Amino acid sequence: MISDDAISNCPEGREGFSRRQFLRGAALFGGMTVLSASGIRYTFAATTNEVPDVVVTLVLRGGFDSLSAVVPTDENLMRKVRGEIFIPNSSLLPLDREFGLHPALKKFMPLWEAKELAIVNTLGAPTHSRSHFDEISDVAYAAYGEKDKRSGWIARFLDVAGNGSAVQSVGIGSTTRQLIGGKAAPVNVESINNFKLDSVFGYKAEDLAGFIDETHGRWTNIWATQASSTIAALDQIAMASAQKSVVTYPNTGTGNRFRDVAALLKAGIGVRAVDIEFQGDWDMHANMGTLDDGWLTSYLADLAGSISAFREDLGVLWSRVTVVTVTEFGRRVSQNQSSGTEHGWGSSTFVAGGGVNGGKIHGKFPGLDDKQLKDGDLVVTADYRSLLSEILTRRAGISAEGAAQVFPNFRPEVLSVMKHLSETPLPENFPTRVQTALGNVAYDPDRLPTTAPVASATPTPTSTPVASESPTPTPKPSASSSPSASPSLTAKRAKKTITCVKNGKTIRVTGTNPKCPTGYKIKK
Amino acid sequence: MESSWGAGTTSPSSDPIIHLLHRFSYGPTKDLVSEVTKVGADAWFEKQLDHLALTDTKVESYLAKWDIFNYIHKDMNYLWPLAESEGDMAKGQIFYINHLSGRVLHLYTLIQQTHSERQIFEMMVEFWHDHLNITTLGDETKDGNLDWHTNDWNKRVIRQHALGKFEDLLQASALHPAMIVYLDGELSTKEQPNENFGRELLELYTVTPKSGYTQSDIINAAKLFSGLRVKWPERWYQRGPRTRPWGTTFKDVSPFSTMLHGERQNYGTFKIMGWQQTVTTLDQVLPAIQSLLKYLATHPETAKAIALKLGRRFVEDVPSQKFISDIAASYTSSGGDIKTVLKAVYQHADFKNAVGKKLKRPGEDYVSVARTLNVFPNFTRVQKWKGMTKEFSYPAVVPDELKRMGHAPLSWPFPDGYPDVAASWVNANHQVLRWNVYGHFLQGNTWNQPALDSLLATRETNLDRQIDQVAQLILFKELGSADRAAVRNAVTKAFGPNPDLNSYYRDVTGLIARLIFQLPVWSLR
Repeated sequence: MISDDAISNCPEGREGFSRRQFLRGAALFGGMTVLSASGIRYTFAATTNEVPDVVVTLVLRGGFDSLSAVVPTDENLMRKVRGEIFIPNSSLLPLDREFGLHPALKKFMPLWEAKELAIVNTLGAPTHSRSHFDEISDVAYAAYGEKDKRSGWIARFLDVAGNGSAVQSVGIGSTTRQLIGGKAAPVNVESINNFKLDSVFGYKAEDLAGFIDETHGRWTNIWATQASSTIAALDQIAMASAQKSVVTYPNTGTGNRFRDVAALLKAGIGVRAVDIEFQGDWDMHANMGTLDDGWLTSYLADLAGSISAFREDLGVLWSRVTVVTVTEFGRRVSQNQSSGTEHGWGSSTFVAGGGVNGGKIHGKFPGLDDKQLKDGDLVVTADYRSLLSEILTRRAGISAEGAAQVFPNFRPEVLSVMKHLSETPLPENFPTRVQTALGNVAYDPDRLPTTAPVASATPTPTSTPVASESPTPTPKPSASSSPSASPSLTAKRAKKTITCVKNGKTIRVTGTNPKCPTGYKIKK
Repeated sequence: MESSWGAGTTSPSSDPIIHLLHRFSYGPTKDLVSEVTKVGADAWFEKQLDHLALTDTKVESYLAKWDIFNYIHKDMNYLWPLAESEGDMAKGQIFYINHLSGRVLHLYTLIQQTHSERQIFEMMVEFWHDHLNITTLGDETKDGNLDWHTNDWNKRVIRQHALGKFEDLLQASALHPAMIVYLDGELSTKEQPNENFGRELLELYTVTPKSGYTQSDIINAAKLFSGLRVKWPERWYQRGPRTRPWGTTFKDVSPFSTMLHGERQNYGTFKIMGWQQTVTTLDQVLPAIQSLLKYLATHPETAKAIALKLGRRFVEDVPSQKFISDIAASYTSSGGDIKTVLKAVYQHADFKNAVGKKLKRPGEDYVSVARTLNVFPNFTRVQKWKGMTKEFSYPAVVPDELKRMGHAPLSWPFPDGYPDVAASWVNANHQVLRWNVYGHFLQGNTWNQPALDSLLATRETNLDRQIDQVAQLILFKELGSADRAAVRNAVTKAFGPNPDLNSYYRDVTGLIARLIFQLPVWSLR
C-alpha cells in the first residue's frame, strides 16, 4: 500500500508525479491510493493494468428520432402512429425480430455483423422537460441535482482518471457549455486545423508561442501555469493536424470531424475523450423527407458513413475506441401534421467500438401502446448515465467510486453493453506510440463482470425481409476475440471509387461494388 | 487568485486610481484615467453612483446610427405586432423577431460596457443579471417563450433597480414574465406547484442554504406563487402559439404583463422560515408575496450572501469573513441600499489590498481590450436578417466571438449566473481564444481598426520609446526589464534589428500592442 506520505515524499513531488507514472508503478505494489486533481482519494484493491479506450461521444443535437432509425417491426402499430413517415418492414435492414434499421444506415451493417455495433434501448435523461436548451446542457454536465455545475462530465472523468497529457480531451464543433470550467475541460475546436495561434504583423505563430511561454514562465499563478500546458497542447494538436488519411469519409462536416478525431488518435498524444457534435440539427419538426431522400435520410447516411469510415481509418486502434451517441431527448411517438415529430423523451442509442457486446439490441423497449407512453413519449427505461458509467468503468479505467464522482447523485445500473478491458487483450500490432500515450489504467479483477455476456436470446429474424441493397454479412473476427487478426473490416477484394452527380452536386462512393445513391447518376 | 512573479516581469499597477478602474469599470482608458486624476477617485466614485445625472452622448449617438437598436428594450406587446407585420407568419418566421431582439441586447450590452460613461452602473447591471440570472441566449430557451421578455427584463428589472434598493429589485424580478417563464411558473398548477422558483428564491437570490430553510419552506413558497402567470397579448390567444388559460378568475399584476390565475392559486396559511401569513382571497395574494419578499430581502443571511458576491466581484475570489460581516452590516443598516453598500466595498481595507487578485473573465478581457483601443463593432462586416419585410445589418460576429469564449453576454445557461472565480476560467481553450482575440482587435476585423497613432501621445520612430509608450497606453506603467527585452526581441525578430517605424508604423505598433496584451499581467484586473 502506498501511503499519502509516500506520494508526498516521492522525489518528483506530488505535483510532478503524473498519474500515468503512478499507475504504471502501481502494479508492483498491488494496491494504491490515488489523489485526483480534485483532491478526492480513491483506493484501489489489487490491480491489473490495461490500455484504456478513448471515449468518443457523438452528440446528435436537436433530439434524435430513434423510431425512424431503429424501427419497431410491429407494422400495425407503427403505421398508426407514424402515418406519412411510416417505414415498411420491407425497406428495413433486419436487426432482430422486433427491430430493423433504416436503410440509410446500411453502412452500419458490416459493424453490426462484426459485433462491433450495439444498440441500447431506451435511454434518456431523468428530466423530461422537452426543452432543447435545458436538456442539451444537462446532458453535457450530467450533474442532476448538483447546484455547482462548474464542469462537464468529460472534465470530471479526466479529473478522476486523466493521464496528465496536455490534451486529454477534445470537443469538436461542440456548442455545449460542458467546455467551460474544470481543469481538464476539453480543448474545443471547430476543426483541429483551427486550434492554433494566429500569426499577425509578420510575427510567426511559433514565435508567439515562445514569447508566451517565456513571459508566463516567470509567473506563478493558475493562469500562468496553465499557459505552459496550453502551449504544449498547441504543439500536440499540430502533430495531429499533420496526420494523413487515405480513407474516404462522407463529404460532410461530420465526416470531416471524424477524420479529425482519427488524426488525433493516430497522433498518439494521449487524448482520452472526444466530444463530437454531429454537424446538423436533428430537430425535425417538419418535412423529414422520404426513404430515398431528404433531411432524415441524408443525416442517417452521414451518421453511419462517418462512423464506418472512422472505423476503417483507425485500423487496429479501433480496438481501443468506444463511440456512443448522445442526444438531449428522443421524439414524440406520433408524427405531427407536418411530416415531422415533436420533442419527446426516450431514445435508442448506438454504441460502436472494439469493446462492445455488439450485434445485439440491449436494454428494455418500453412499448408503443398509449398506456405505455408518458405524455405521448417513449419512456426512458435506463438512464443514459448508466451506459456512460459502464463505458468509463469497463473500458476507460475508472473505478465505481470514480464513476460516482463523474456522475454525482447517481447509482448506475448494469447494462452489460460493454466488455471489460480484460476480455479484449490489446492487439499485438497496436502502435507503441499510441499505447504509451494512452498509458495504462488499473482495474480491479475482483470487480470484473462475473458472467460473460450471453448471446442475444432473440431468435435470428426469419420473417423480416432483407432489403435488396443490404450487404452480404461477412462477419469478421473482432479485435477482442482474435487480437492478432487484421482489425480491418474492409474485404480483401480491391475497392474502387466512383463519382456520382445529381443537379450539379458531386459525391464520391467507394466500395468493392460501388453504386450511386438514388437520384444520382454515375459520372464516366 | 494569488500570484507571484519573478524579477524583470511587469507586475500589476499599484496606483489606486488604476486599481479602482480595474474593479469599478470595464478597464482604465487613457481618457478615464485623466478624468479621475483630475476630479479625484472618491469624487468620481460618487458621481458614478448618481448614474442618471451622467450624460452619455458618445454611446447614445452611436446607437442612434443603427436602426437595429430600434428593437432594444421592447416588450412582447411591441414585438408581436411587428412580428406579424414584418415577418412571414405562414412560414413560421414569427420567431425571428424575438431571437433578433435577444441578440441585439447582447450587442447593446457590449457597447454599453465598452463605451458608456456609466461604468459602475454597467458593472452592476451585469452583477445583478448574474445574481438573478435569466438566460438570454435566445432561440430555443423555454421553446422560444423566454425571448419575448428578456429585453424588458433587462430594462425594467435589472437596469431600473441596479443602483437602487435590493428589495425593489427582488420584488420586480419575482413578478416579471421573464422569471415566470424561466423558472417554470407557467407550468405550475394548484395541485402541483412547480418548485423551481421557490427553490431558487431561497437558495440563490436571498438567504442561501446557510439559513437552514427546509423543503417545506420551498413547497410553501411554490404554493404561494402557484397562481402567478404571464399575461400574454390577447392576440396570442386568438391566433398565436398559446391557448387561453382555462378558468374565469384573473387579476392583473402591475406593472408587468403578469396576472394571478385564481383557479391555479393555492390558499391557506403559508409558513416560510420565520414568515407566516394566511391568504384566503385572490386579492390577498400579491400583498402576501410582497411581504414574503420583504422578509427575505431584509434577512441577515441575505445580507451576507450579497456581501459575499460583491466581495467576489470587486475584491477577491474568497473574501474575508471580516469583509463579509462589514459589508453585510452596511447592507442591513442601509436597508439594502445598493449605493451605500458599494461605497462600503470601495472604502474597505480589503479592497485597497486586493491589487491584481482577480483574473479577468473572458468578457472583461474582451471589453477591456476594446476600451483600451477605443473601437466600435464593425458594422461593415454584417449579417442580414432574412425573412422579414425589412432587412437590416447586424454584426452578429461580435457577440459570437464572446460566445465561443464561453462568456456571451447575459447567457449563462443555469439560474446561478456566470462563475466569478478564476478556477472556472482557466483552461487551454480559453487561453488560445483570448490570445488570438488580441490579434483580431489590433488588425481590426470584428471591431473597427484601432487608430493607434491618435491613441499614442507622439508619433514615435524610436522602437524603445514606442514600446514604453504602448505599455503606458495599455498597462499604465513601464514594462519590467525582462518583459521589455522579450517584447523588443520579438519585434526585431519580425521586422529586423532596426524596424522602420516610419514605413511600418501600424504593423510594428500593432505587434508591440499585441505582445503587451499577451503578457500575464494583462489577464489580471
